[in-house]
Amino acid sequence: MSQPVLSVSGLAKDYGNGQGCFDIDFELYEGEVLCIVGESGSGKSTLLATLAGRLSADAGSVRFRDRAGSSHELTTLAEAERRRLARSEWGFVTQHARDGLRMNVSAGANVSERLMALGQRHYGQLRETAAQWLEKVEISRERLDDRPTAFSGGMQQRLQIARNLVTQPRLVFMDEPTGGLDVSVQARFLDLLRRLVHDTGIAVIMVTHDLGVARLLAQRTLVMQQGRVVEAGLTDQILDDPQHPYSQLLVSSILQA
Amino acid sequence: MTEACHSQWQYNFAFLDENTKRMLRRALLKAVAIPGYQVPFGSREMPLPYGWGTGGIQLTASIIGQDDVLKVIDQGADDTTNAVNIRRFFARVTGVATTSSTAAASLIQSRHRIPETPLRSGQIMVFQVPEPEALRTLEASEVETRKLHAHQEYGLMHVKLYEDIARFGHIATSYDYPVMVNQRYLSSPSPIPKFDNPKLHMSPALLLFGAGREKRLYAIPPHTRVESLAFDDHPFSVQRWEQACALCGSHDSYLDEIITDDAGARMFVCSDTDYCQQQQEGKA
Amino acid sequence: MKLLIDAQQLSKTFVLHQQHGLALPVLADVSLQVAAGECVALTGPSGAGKSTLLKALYANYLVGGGSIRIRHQGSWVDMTTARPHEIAAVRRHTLGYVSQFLRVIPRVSALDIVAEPLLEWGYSMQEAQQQAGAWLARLNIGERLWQLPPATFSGGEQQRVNIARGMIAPRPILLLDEPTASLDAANRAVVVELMLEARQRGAALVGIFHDEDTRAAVASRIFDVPLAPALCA
Repeated sequence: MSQPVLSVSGLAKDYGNGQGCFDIDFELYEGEVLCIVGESGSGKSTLLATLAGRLSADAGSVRFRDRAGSSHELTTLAEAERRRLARSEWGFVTQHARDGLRMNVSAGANVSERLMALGQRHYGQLRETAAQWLEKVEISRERLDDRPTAFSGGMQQRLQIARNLVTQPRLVFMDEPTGGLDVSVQARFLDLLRRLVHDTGIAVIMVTHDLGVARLLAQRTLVMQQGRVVEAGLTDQILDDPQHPYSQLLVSSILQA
Repeated sequence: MTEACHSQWQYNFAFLDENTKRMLRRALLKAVAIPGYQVPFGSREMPLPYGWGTGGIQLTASIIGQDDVLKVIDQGADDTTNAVNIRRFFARVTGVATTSSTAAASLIQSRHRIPETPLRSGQIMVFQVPEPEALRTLEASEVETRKLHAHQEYGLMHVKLYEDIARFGHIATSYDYPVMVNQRYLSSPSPIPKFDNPKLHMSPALLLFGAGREKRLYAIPPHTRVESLAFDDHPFSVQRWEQACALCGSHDSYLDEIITDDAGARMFVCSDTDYCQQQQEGKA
Repeated sequence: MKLLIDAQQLSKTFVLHQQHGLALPVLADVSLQVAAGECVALTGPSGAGKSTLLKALYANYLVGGGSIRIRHQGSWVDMTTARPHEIAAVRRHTLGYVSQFLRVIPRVSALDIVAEPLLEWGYSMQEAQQQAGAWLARLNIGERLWQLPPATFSGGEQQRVNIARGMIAPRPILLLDEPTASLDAANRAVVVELMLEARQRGAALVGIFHDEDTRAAVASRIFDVPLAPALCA
């Protein structure tokens, strides 16, 4: 608990025309959910992709502490090592299931893939683990052999969660995971996620444009505008006492339920 | 260079020009040095369409010498169209001796079988490969599959085997069954039946694979470990038949099922015609 | 006397950027110290900053100046300079906040909502749920409601669920924002009892109690939140 999972300082990704993200600093601890909010084009997805090593950083440092306690500088990490961490220590949940799932193989194969990539070779055990994870994300184990194409949008997103969490990662990146979901389905997804964060102690970085999602899920929030973090802090503080003009505008735009 | 064939056909020995052969040999040396690794090469237009063995023919053309004895098989048989044509082609453009005997051959080009007669040291087998990338049906992007090879990320291949078991109760892949070469590169053994996979392991012969359309070649050098992928609780196994060969009586060769009349009568015979004949002669 | 809260010279001015930068000073030079076993009732005219002060103590509002030291697990943490995860730890173990309004994810059952703080304290699920049930029962939430999400409950029921959630973990400091506001007399009496029990176990309480009877019953001291200069005029 004393050491952060992720320490980011001075991080920048510069697309050259003022676009990108700049001067990003934050720390993230086990069991914490951090939401990155901001409008389209504010650089939040760029930041997420840079943190996850999918884009190369132009400045700054991202230090990741793995399960064994060793620290890795992600901005200079070799590709092979980055991919190993991505398989075992991280997850990435995308907005569109087709980007995060293999749509042409069964749910069971989707959940098992990371385990098989890590060398598990017992079909019966893989299958049982996959079935347990389906149940954890509230999908019946009867659906193990169905393809994701036969699933609803909410189920597909929950399947993505199972596919990512099966290797018990320390850190999960999520890019607008509730973006395409109905409100009722979204509530179920958020509830599930909150429970899994609590049960597994993973740290989550979630990009969203929905402050309501941040309120329910995230202890901490970064507000981004034009590639920069204009306000960072505890989510309830940012929502109840926003300081920056842009945060105030965002908060005043929330629909009150 | 054989002057006889040169003057008769106005072609270089073995059809390809010497620079092309050199390019191919360099690629082959690299392939041998990195077992299972797919080496790109500049595939030439051959006087037959892609899919008819252009990759195998170019490999054979680049390594065949005047003293070689060539055998060509198609699905185990020496007397089917593809085999006959390729054998005749090389006879014309090289003048080398040809044979149907596995034991007598120094160079064997094959479409989709490995002979039953054990290969020996010094022999070279050339396989015709339609799709060299074992991961292709699972991952369409060449950029991505090359990365997967580079980082030895082969979980995807097991996804396919997992799907097989989930759907059919067993690994239903029966040919082109993926192998791990030298504990490093995932490779396609070409569409040989999985029955032949064990023959790849620690083979005393040099095994070369050529894909003309895909412009890739790779190799399994002699005495290389070749492991067929599997699960602990679904181990790799080869096909077995209750029948023996109807012609030679062999119990341990790969059998083809042949429909013999319109009523649906059938018989099982060896796919390897040379082996079957030898078995019959041995009994006689 | 063991101090648990030591707030010095707090000031707070709201700047409304949507209103052309309108500045609203609410707190100016406010100092408050609270010791274990005390219950301080904040008083003052409406809009004078009682609620702002309470939220500032919880670090829900950022102050413009001053320091808020909270005794957390044997040492002082200044909430005005602490990092977010430190504040989260202080809130988890030391500093509870009971508001009138329940904000939770729609699908979670009342029992789980109340049990959650104990799970964060490391209680087993069974133990946490058992205690949560006892708290709900004491606050007169019928057992048939326990497994239901409180979104459909009445205002008073939601408030009592919230009180149970806010008070179940024996945190050393409790901040209470009108905990009895919309309760009937019987439930108000239960909440008063709960607050007194908290004082007895040595907790420091700071609250806003509009109901004078409640204030008289639980408060050991009145703190009149002074008006900020601009508001005096």
